[in-house]
Amino acid sequence: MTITDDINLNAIVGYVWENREYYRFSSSTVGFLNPDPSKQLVGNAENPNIGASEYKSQNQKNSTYFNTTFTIAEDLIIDLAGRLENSTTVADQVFYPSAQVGYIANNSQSGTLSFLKLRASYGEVGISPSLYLNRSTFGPSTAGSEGWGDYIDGANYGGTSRRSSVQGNPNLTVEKVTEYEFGADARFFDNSLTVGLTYYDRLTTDGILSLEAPPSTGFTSLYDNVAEISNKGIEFDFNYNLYNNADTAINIFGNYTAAENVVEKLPGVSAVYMGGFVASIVEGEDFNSFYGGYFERDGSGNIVTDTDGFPVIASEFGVTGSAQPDFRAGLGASITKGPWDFSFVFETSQGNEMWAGTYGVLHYFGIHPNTAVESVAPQDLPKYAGGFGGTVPAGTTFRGNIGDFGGGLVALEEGWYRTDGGGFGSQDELFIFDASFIKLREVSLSYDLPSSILTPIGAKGGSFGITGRNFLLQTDFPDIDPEISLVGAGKARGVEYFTNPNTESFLFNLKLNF
Amino acid sequence: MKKFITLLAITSLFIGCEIDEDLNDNPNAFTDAPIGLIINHALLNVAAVAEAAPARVAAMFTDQLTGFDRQYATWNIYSVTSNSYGEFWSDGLSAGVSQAQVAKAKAVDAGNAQIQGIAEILEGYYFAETALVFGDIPFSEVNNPDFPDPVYESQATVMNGAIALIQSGIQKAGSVSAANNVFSTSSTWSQIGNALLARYNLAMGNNSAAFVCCKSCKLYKH
Repeated sequence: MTITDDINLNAIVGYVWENREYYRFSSSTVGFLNPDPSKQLVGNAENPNIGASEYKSQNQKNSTYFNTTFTIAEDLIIDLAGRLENSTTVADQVFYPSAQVGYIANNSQSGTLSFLKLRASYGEVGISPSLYLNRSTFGPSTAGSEGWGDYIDGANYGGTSRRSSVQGNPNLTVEKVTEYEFGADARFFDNSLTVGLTYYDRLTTDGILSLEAPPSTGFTSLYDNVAEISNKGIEFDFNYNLYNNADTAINIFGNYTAAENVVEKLPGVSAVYMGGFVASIVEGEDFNSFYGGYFERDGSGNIVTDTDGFPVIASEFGVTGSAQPDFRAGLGASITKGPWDFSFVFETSQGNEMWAGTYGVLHYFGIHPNTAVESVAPQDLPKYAGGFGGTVPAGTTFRGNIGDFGGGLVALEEGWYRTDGGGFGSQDELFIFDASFIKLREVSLSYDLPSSILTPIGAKGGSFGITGRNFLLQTDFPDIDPEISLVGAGKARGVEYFTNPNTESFLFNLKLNF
Repeated sequence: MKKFITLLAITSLFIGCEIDEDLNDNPNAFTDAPIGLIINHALLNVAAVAEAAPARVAAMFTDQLTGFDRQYATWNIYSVTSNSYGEFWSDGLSAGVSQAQVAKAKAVDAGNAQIQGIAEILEGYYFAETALVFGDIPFSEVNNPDFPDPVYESQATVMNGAIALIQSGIQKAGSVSAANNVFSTSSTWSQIGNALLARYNLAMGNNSAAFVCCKSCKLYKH
């Protein structure tokens, strides 16, 4: 709709109703009575070997929304939008506003500054709590320590039931994310250099987390709106068309991102475990920190050692590192000359740490190369008193390493690695490493086949190329490319424990168009 | 403009369209359970305290067992942090005391004195065992989410409270046989309760009271 000659308004108003229903019924049968593999029949087993389970859920959401776009004199665009939402798990309606302004300050398409657009936006979004977290439930129970493998199932004792260890929370509300973003897109030198720059500031309030509850409350966990998490960062990217003529083109491109993702508030709990053995969030620390056993430090930050010179482990857990990089960046180029195309991309992540779980456990089992060494004691060396104790006499050759934690030389042998110096011990600190890396992500060379080859086989076009991925890596992290994740899509980062390594690949390709 | 206003009017009809609150009722889990099943859990969980990890660790700490492999090698050298004990704490308090109290509250509502008595004996057992391991523990502010940071009461207060609970339980359920699906025994709850009282009085140094309890549960034979 045109309001005046210069102002144009585009508006959308709408209503959304959403209903999700889920039903799963599954059964399992083990120990087939009739071994004929051609039929898979649920009833083909003794009764105790037939099991069934089901899961149902229904969730609804509805919202009324509007979205208006004002275009003023073609170079100023203002977007205003809002959404009023009802959801099953939240008692009250919630309104989420958002606004966006874009201003084209320069659109000359030539000269030193050939284009400049400035943009700013503000938005609020909410995440409703998951279903069924608001009421405590009762269910079949077991007793004993499932973590240690020995427990008894009440179903074998006439049936037992307990109030769930998860405390229902009727006060759960929406987790809200508020975000400001400022940015600019610019082009220079007759559009040959394109630059994008964005700053964002995102604040999550009432973040829903599964908290450990003190077992004295009768529960061991509950979901609550507790966390306040900030995420501020800049993103920068550029593409420079360095040289261009009929036969040759050279492009350089790159990007840089740096973010500070901090747990601002997490009242009442020391840490919330995110997965992967050590990844946790802790108040005042990076979002992806490691929380676990560490060595006691004195006032000046030195490791406290016992009388033998071995480190003393603190009695409480603490933060042992952070998986958050200081920055990530990429730099690449593509060069075309006649039929040849050559391109490469380097990537780096700097300042991030990672927990080397495999490394720790291989030390325990004595099958890491570090433990397959022999040392000669230059003096009488104490062995770990917590292990098997004893001393390695001066001049003796022993299997293991000579260590120094600040309290004199000590023998790191089986007694150390089998207890606190290995992956099953009470400290994680020795297994947190700098996981910064620089890698050649991809390099590729291709050649456009000449018509002298293409015409006889009836092809219109074609090329032959070779690409290598991920085969050059510089990192101090032990044994494996640190760009992996134990928990897949989970939130925990920077944990490695018998994780499949990244692949290196070399590809040869032949493309023909007919 | 007219179209726009019409559209706005139609949309506004939907504002405040509420969602049925019943959808929050979890179709996959019960929100209550019969008292018999809960008291059975409180009984079953005795195995968690008496026979599982806490018993093994106590045996390692008293040199009856040697922790040789993986994490047990670390327990064996007393290399533990406060996190190592979280599971024992929940075996005693959230899986033990709290469930016994849930059963007790249901028994009081139903006017079932026998089950109330059994629940009290079990509640006393979990309190006393947890206090014997940890010393001062929460007692009056247990099983209540309003006290995430409960007062720790002295070991003696908790032990005396546990003894009073067991005595009260014996009054109500003493003559009942303790045998059921979970627990095979020929003893009555009076005998079991008195055996526990003998143990806890001994721990408190009340030797003569312990002796009386021994005699009542026929542990002591002349």
